[in-house]
Amino acid sequence: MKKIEHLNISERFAETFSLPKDMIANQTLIHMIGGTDLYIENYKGIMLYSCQEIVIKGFCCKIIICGKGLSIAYYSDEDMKVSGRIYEVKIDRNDK
Amino acid sequence: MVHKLRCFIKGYVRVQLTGEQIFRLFNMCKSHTITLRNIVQEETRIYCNILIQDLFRMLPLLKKTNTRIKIIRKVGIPFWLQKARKRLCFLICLFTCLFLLNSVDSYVWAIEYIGNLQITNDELADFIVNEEIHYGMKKDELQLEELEKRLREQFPVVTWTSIYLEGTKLCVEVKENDVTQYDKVMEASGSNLIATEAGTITSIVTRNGVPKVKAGEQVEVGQILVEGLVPVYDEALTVVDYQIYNADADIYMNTIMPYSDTVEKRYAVMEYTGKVQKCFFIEAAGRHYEIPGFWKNFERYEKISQKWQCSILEDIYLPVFYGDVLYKEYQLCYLEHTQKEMETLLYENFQHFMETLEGKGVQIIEKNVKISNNTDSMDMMGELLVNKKTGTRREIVEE
Repeated sequence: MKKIEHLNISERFAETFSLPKDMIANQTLIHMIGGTDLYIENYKGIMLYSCQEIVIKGFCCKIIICGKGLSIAYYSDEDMKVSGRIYEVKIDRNDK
Repeated sequence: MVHKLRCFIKGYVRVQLTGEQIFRLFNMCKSHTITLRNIVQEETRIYCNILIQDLFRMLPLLKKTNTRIKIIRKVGIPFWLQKARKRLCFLICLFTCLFLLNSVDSYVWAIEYIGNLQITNDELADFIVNEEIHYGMKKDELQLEELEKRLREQFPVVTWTSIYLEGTKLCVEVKENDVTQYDKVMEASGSNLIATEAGTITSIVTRNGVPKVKAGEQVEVGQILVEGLVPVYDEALTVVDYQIYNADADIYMNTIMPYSDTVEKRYAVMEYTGKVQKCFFIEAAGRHYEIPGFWKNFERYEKISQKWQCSILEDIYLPVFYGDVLYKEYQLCYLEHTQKEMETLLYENFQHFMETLEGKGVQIIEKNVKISNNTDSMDMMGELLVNKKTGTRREIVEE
């Protein structure tokens, strides 16, 4: 039980019943294919966009994507796709 | 790929966005379910693709965020249609042609007969007409398997048939048997050889059956020459049974063949005046149009025409025919043969007749023809004594 002490209720619930956290706890889902394509679901919006850096606002964190020649293949209310040479994906948690 | 196709159908624009609050605009677009595609930054400008329908929904958001928009490129069918409006007539024709081609393709516009040697094209055409198959009928109405079955029934000589469609052409392909069905039928019931004309038998060599005549005997038309029923005798020479055969023999007979020919003294000759008119024609929907129309008032004329059917890719035949017609004017001139000419003509005709007979294997033994002169014609009449092969098969009738 010690393992899940740092989690909130919804996260604990999802952890206990092995349910997807992105649905239950409204967490941001990130998929990455190789070093060129990145899919992000469950996000609030875009905070910054340039060819070298994209900052996405999640529900409880910020996702910072660093790379070269970055572009957004599509940007919709459900998901978005980032293309380009991705060097780094950083999570900036608000609660630290 | 599907997205790209959908965007192309709906139509989209490539826009250039400039302003201080572009990211706010992006987030507002997200909340208004407006999808932006292919977002790329170049210096301070951001480029993206947006559907036309979304562009109109985006306009108030642009005002709110104070973002300037500039359309760089318009892509998709709606824009293409807008451009094509100028060529509306061409488009209408194009679509009409496609529609007509599509509708024409579901009908039969040509019939071809393949592989028939003994059965003529006319016989097959009559069969097709009797089966109520005609040009311009719908392909769906054709029951090809039934048709094949009926064709085999109607023409026993056909051993294999295939009726299929090639584009708009109905192909009737048949394979005929070398051994005719006639012989097959005869085999089952047996046959006699009977005389086809009256005369005197000169020789008879029997291969099958019982000969009923001898050389030197006089026979009448329809008389049995060789019988297919062969009696089987017992020891007391009593007929106990009959074996049935197809009578077969080489029978030659001397017979009288009448001959008559007439040549009229006065005869008509076509004399061309040299006036001709050439027209092109188009036949469609049962109508015949000539270009230019036949306008010369020829009293008598000869018409020579060539006709072709329009087809696409050699298989799709259209109900349109084209060709050319040549009208040649002529006059009838009446001339008269001299006595010598008439005699020569009669003699030539007679020679030709004899050559034809010899070609058929008929030996001419004696000829007795006379020329008689009338006021307006000359006749050649007489008889030929010939030696020819006789005997035709006839099925044995059970009594």
